[in-house]
Amino acid sequence: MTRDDDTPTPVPGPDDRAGAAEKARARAFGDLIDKVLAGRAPAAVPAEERALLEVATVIRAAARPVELGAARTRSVVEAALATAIERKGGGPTLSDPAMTVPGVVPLDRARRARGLVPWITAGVATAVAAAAVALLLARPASPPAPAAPVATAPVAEHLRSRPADPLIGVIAPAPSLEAAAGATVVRIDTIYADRLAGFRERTLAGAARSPGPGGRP
Amino acid sequence: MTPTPSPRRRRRRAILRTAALAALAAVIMAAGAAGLACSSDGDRRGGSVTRITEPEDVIDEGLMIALSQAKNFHHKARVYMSDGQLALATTAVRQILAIEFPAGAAEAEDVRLDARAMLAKLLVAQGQLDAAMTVVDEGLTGAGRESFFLANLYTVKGEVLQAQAEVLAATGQPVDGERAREVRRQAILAFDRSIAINEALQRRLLEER
Repeated sequence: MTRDDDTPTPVPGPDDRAGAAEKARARAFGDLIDKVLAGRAPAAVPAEERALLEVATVIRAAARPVELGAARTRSVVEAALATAIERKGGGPTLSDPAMTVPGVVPLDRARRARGLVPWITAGVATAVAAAAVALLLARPASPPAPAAPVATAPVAEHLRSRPADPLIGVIAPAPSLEAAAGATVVRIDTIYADRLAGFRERTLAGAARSPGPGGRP
Repeated sequence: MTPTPSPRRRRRRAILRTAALAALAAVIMAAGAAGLACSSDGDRRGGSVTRITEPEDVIDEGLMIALSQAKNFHHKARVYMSDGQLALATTAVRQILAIEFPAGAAEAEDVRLDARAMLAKLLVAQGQLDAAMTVVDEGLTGAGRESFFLANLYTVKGEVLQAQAEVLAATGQPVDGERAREVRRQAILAFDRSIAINEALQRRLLEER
């Protein structure tokens, strides 16, 4: 740090309160520093303030970490890793493309592989879809399914069509044509009445499906 | 402040987005194809295997209609007979033979055999013995099982043969007399057949009870 000895301003003590002039100077110097940091440094600066600016710039540079660009950061890291690997392997350098170190994948190769993952996924999915569509189109017509076994609900005997012999019994010879006609009408009426009772029971009374004793519910 | 992505990063994101969309489209296509295949298989399979149906021989509307028609024709024929119109009665009974019963209905054969027996009697009463025998023989030939109705038709056959024998005997010719004896012998065979059927059926029914 330098100081202009020609400046008549007395040096304040460490415990002295700042005067108005000193506060004004400090505020002006702060504005100057802000302008410099923002890249708007004034064209001319007094020698005393330039010295103070240099000091402030050095202090700021020492306090802030250095920010590198992404490309620069990547190259530095890769170089460091390559150096570390070369030291560990003790063999050829990583710059040799034929060199392989167990468990180590070069960063550029890994990056290329990572870039291929979505394309590989899309390709596999497309191939599967195409295979499914082709299988659907080229599938041979399957033979008709065999007839499924169909269960039959049990139905009581008196609800089913059946011979009328038990109902009519032996038909006696008729002594005359009129008697024969009368007996024939009685027989058909009997058959009709019996079947009508079964039909009504099945359709109107909810169809008793389990036969009771004697075949009737 | 959000940093603006570099052009290279934007290009990489666009590539990734495109690849993801392509993969999604492919998966959707595959799922659609699989679904289409499954649905078409289901269509081919048809109905449920657990379907429970009624047996085909239940008393249904078709059987009741057929029985009702036969009943009405018999009543109609009886009215004609009571009025002395045997030809119209014959026509009415003959219509019973044309009634269409449900397939497999056991009552159909019983009703038709009974109608043939009545029809043959009507024809005999009108002197049409050959036609009566034709009606009877058609019934006996087409019968599928022994029944009381079949036995009755054999009885009617015996009656028709008996009537034929009487006609032959009435001529007084020796040849017709010989033929009449043969016809009577056939009548006896028909009656015997009727008796045998009735006995066998009665025995079977008693055993079933």
